[in-house]
Amino acid sequence: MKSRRAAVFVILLFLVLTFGSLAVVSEQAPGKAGEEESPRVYTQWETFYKENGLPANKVYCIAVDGDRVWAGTENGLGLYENGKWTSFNVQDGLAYPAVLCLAIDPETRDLWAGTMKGLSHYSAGRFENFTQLNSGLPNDVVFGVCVENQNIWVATTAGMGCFHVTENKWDVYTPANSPQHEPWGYFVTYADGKVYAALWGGGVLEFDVATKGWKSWLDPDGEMEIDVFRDDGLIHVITTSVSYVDKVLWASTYFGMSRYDGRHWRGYIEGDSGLPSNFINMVKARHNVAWVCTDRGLGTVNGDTNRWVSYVPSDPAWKHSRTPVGADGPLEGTKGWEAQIYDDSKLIKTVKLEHGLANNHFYGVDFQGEDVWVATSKGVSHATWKGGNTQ
Amino acid sequence: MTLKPDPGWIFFLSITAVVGGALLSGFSVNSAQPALQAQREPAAPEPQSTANHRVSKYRGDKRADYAVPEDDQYKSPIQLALSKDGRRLAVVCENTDEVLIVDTGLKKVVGHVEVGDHPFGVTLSPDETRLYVGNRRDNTVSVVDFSSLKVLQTIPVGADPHQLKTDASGRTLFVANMRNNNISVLDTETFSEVKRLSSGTTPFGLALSPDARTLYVSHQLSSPVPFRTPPVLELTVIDVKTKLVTGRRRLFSTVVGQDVAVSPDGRFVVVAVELPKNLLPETQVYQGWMVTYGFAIVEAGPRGRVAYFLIDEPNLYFADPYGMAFSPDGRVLYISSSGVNYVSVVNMEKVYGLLKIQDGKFGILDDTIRLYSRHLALSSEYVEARIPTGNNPKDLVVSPDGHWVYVANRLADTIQVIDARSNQSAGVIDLGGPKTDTALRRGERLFNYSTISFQKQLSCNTCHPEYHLDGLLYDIVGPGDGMGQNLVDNRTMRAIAETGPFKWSGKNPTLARQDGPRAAQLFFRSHGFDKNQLQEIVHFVESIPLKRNQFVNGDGTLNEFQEAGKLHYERSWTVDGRYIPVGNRCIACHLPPHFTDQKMHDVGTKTYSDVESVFDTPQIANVFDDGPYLHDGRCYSLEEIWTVNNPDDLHGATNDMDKRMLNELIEYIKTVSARGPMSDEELLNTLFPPPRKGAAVLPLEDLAQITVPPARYVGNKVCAGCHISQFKTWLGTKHARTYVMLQSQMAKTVAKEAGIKAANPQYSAFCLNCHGTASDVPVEYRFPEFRIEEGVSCEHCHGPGEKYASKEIMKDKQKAISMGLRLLTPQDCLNCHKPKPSHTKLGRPPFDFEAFWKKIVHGTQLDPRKAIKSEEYKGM
Amino acid sequence: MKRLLSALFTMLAGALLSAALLLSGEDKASKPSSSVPSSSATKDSVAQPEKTATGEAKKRELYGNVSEELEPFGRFVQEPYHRYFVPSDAAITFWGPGREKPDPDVPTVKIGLLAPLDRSHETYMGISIKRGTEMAIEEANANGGYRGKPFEMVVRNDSGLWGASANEIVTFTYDDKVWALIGTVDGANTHIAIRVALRTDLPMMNIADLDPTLMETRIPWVFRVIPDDRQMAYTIIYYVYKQLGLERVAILRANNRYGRFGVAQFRKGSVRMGKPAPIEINYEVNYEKVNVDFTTQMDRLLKAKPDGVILWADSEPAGHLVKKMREVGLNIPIVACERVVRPEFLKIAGPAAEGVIATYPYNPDADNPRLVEFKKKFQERYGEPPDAYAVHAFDGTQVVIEAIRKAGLNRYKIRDELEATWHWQGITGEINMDDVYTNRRPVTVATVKDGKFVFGTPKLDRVF
Repeated sequence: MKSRRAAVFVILLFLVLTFGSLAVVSEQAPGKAGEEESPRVYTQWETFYKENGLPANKVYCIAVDGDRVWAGTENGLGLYENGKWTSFNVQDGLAYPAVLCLAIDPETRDLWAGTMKGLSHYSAGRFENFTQLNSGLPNDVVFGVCVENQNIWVATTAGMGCFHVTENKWDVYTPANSPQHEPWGYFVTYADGKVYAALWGGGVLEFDVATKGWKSWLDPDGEMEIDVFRDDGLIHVITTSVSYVDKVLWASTYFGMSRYDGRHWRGYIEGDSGLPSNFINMVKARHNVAWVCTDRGLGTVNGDTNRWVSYVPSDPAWKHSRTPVGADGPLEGTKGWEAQIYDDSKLIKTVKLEHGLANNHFYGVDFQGEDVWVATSKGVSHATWKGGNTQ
Repeated sequence: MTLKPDPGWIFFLSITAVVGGALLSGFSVNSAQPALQAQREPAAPEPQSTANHRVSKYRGDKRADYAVPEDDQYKSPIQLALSKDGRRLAVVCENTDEVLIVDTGLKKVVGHVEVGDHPFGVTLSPDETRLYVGNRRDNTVSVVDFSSLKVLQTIPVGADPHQLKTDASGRTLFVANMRNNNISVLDTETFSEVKRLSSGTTPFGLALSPDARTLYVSHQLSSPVPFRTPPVLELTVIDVKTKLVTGRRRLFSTVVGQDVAVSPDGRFVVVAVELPKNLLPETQVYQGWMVTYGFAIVEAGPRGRVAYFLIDEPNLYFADPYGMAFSPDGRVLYISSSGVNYVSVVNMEKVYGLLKIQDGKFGILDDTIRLYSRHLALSSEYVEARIPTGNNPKDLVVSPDGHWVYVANRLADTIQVIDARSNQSAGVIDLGGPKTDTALRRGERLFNYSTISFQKQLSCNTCHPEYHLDGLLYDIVGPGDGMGQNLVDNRTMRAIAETGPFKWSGKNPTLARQDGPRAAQLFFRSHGFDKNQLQEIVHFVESIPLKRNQFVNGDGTLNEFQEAGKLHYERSWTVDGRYIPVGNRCIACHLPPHFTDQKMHDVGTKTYSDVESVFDTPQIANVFDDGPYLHDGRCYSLEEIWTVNNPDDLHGATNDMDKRMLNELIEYIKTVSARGPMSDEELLNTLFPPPRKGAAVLPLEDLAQITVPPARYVGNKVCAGCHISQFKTWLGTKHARTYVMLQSQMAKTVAKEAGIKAANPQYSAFCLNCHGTASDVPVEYRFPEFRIEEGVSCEHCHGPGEKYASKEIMKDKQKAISMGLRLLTPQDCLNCHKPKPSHTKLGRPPFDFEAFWKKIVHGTQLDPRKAIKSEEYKGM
Repeated sequence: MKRLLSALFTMLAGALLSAALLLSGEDKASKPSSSVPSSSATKDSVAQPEKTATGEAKKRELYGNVSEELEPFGRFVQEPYHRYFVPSDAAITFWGPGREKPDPDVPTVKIGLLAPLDRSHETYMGISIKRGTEMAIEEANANGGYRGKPFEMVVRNDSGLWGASANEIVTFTYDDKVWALIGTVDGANTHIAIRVALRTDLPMMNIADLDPTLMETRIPWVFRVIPDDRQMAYTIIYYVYKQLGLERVAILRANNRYGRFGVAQFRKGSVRMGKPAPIEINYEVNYEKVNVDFTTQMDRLLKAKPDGVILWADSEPAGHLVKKMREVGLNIPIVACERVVRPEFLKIAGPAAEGVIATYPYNPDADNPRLVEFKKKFQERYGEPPDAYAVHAFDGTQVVIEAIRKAGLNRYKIRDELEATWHWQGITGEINMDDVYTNRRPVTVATVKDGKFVFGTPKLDRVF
């Protein structure tokens, strides 16, 4: 027993000396923060609610298709076209009213919608539905969907599936035939020849389409209740989404966010960064800026500079009480919204927003050129970028 | 190239399954190799790489038995393409895998080019330098230089490429992949596929609008619809510039859509269609209402309306419309009726008049449209001529000056020339090919010719387009049947030779029976075929091949999921460790060569409209193509057979699987295609894997008393080793599924009424007295290989085999008997086959010895009737 | 020993840089700076100490009542970078909208019950839960229901074919329109359920799934009144290693999520106690009764020569396993999970069960008048005494009913009320919620004596 501990300590000491000095060197690298305005501060927001034509206020997901925008809500599919919303629901052929995720095929412009009871394929006015009873769909509750070439990947609540549309073939993946630590798919996306999946309790999974090889990332400390070291790897196994852009992997969890550039992991939690909350429903990157959908605000961070712009309600309820218990009516936005600019974890500026966002509980985000669309628990927000900041 | 999984690896896998089981497959590879080699020899011959439809055996048909050399020399012209100057006519000959070039001036063949297997669609590039030809069995497109007639390139596309078209620039080529339900978009410079667009079910024809902006896609079949629901064909609208689907029009109550054409002014799109009367019992045919023929006319532009017009006459039908072409001025529309050998000339001005066209829109109410769609007498208004053609007229084209119409007479090997000015035939252009008619050729004509039926209403081809199916459910009620229900899920004609009995009820032992009096009475309502005709058509049908299975890899191998599925297909243990009796495994009933045991089984699919609970086991080669499924077509997808319609695990043990396993099983089943038969060795190894360690022991409850038998029970494998044919007979009987049937809800109710205490009848020693074998003997009296679950197995009737079941002893019958081999007496049967009040619920007929004996008899050696005089057992 | 050593190294290797900084850093309050070049964490944290993620490094906030010596990485880092599920961390709560939704007018107030009632090896638990819930709802209706309206129980099976359980929750939310959900037993199904509940905003009261990770997902919609396997495992660890002084303990468990996660904390804890990592032997779960031949398991046990066995199995297989163990002469201490405390276990194991110890979430023999009353009623009605699931179902349902009565017909306010319910006097005893809303009341044990379970024996030096 003693001998072992001694050994550990020696090695520890050794590594301290070597890497410790390295770390010091790296500290001296000049921080780019402030040099450029990235992320930008979006000040022009418009919001849409049920009264503006949304099928329902609770919007789980949003997807941009050129000049059209699709919104998956709790009660139907919304399509924003030429300035107005139209709705699709079961009577139009949708598999189920509650739409959890969306993906658009860039080639055919077909829409794939994962609902709580099946996968819907919308093509030029025709719905085609896949369920766990009539197709190879692993489970009816489809949390994530993405398009990989001519294949559709789904992350269902009980396994992942790959539907080869042109051949009408299904591949079903569960822990039994892939390195999934849990079958509970939560999110799936495709980039650079690889499919990335966020597995609830199973970390992040990568599938190389060419080699059919799997790679898996878990929380190195393997504990639910702590994060032992900050940047030792994926922050937690309860992952909720993943985004891979410009060779950088972003993973969101309910315990903070992780960034992996292929060599270093970087962790972000509330307090050590501008992250509004550790409870993150989705992260999606555009170039080197990640948009982070949390339950208490919308964060944006430049992965290179760690400069944050977070969109949060001014003086929200959570500043005053630990929980909303007993609160009545809406908690958020009553005192307006602001964009908080952080240099890493340091608040350096606050910009008051003229128009607030729909709600502080964010579910999803997508980009339309320079514009941004976000889905929240209560409505949709759209930020326009008309060349340069207005402040 | 091969059309079926190589028998070699199938055998290898079954060995794998046996030796290794799912987890150990890797380990058994070596052990399987030598056997694999041995197995290759007897198996079916490898297909040649080209023109493989001539090699027939392995495709589950009997063409090789009937075909004579001429049968491979018929041209069977089907699709046409005409040059802008009207001089050069490209004729696709599907039987000889070539395209002939006809000089319309000289009226003779001036050139030809060999293309891929079974060519179909053909189109010219706008600059007429190239000819594009779709090869249906190769799943490729041949790019042919139109002047040198050399094949420049062969481009892979989807399954069963049908018609094709280029855009105005010729840069993009659209191909309808009939069995993929999508459209390949090809770049004709890089010869590569740009994308696939989702179409409707079985895309068939393509037509470009005059301004070349829009491409219209017609479809042969409707997406599956429930019984007594009108089918709906899709007309897909594609924007040529953006290469995107912009609309999907629905043609109601139509099926078997064929050619599509756009009026020269671009205002209307027409599709040749059938209007089936599948909503009512088919007694209609007497009243002249089983199916009618005509065309749908659709307003171009978004959300346009659809109208339907018939080309039939009140007492005469123009079956199976196929080709469509407008005259250049758009005044008339030519429609070929391939079932009656006529071209109808439709005066479109009259049609527009009836539609009260105002600026490109119909001016009449929907009710009027509905009336017109049923109006048989209306055709006299707009059909201005009927021009007779040669046999089976298919595609037709009109010369640019509008003077001539050329029609492909598919079963006459000629091009019909029609003088459009006089609407008279101007003779035919001979394409070569044998001048004599072979039996198969005559049979094929009979299949396609509707003369056989009352008022020429329908041909076999009407409901079996492409020698396949129309995807509809019919209520076939004979004249005597009154208005009762007799659901028929239309079935394919491909590779059905040697799969008798026919019809899901197994009523018809032979095709001759099915196509003879039955067809005459129920479908054609006519004299039917005469003796010779009957033989010819049966032979033709028996020589229809399977199509290439698109789910198997090109080299005949399976992917990892399909491989895993094969193990599930043959497995003998459930995930939760229960033994699966041989009689409830996929492979037992759906086994090579046709993946049917040609027996009747009760798999728990009886429904309200059924009298019997046993159904013919369908052959499942290329089953992915045969939906809807189950005898009454209640399943639109293979999944539903097990996820919805197998609650008691009677149709194979599947409910212990998770979705991954079920999916693997289904992905394998999709790859199943006709192959060489299983050798007895292969079958035995598959059905009798070695007993596994710590195997599940059937927990017996309410065991009344233990009886010590004279010898130990050895299990079926020992008997089957020598008596394989007897074993197969037994496997096809209910005796092999008596334990399985105890899973049913019915069994639980019966058990309750019979006062069985056991929670599950399968654990009840009382039930197992008859539903199992040796359930009441001490454990040590059952060999490890022996399973009670095998139901009424060999030793149930013939006694425990330990002492007699060896070759030496069995050689001497008397010795065997002295060692315990039991000769049956009717009494043995009556031990179980006695009236059981608790079983009356099942509504089984009383035990009729003769009838039941016929089902189980295997070899007359032990016929109990030898044991006693006939009058003693009569009427037991 | 070797394996353990290498394991420790690999565990450390990835993280050592920050470890180094941690150990060398003099300011314990500031969190470690990062090795990522662009990072400037230290600077900031100094600039704004109130934004530091961790509390005072000296003071240890331990989640799950874990003891210092069992704390993960306890002996390698003085303080982890961040602790979740502790007061210093953000509360697990719901900050989204919904509380403003008005109460609808409905004839009955529906409460969903999702439990394995068919085709499952856990059906016996499903039935118990159903009975407990039934009785709680009837009692509530006897006392006026919800403002005069009756509560109604909507029951669905959570082990239907082809992954139907997920659909059932969707149906509960959108079709049945229940106000809260009681149930689920199977770890896998429960995890599926809570994720759907999270998306559909449906409060869920768990009363029978002891999987610790279930509550450690930061889902603010799920609550649990039954103590979990962390507590069981910690208790067992102290009993077998400290009290009995055993060295080599084997784990014999069901090969499913229940078995895997039930023993996870025991496995880790053994190592932290400096004991050899327990060898783990599992058996295939199956809802049919046909696999009772456990030869392979016994062979492996005999090879391992353990001086004690931890048994995590359902009551019936557990019965057969214990029987076999005694048959093959393994007369070593057996400490089992709560699921064995059932008549079937005693019936199947027979005399072999003598001396088997089981941890249990509550004390059925407690002289709590309400409990005594409940047991009497239950016995009369169903002809058998209630098991742990029935009583916790009763308590859980009562908590939910009380929350509905307070909050009104609004799922968000009902959730808030459940969150606010830190303490509850149940028939199972005191219910004390911790920061993940699971009941941290200490567990108890029972020993089989003369063919029945005697609770509270043996006396334990330390319970969790």
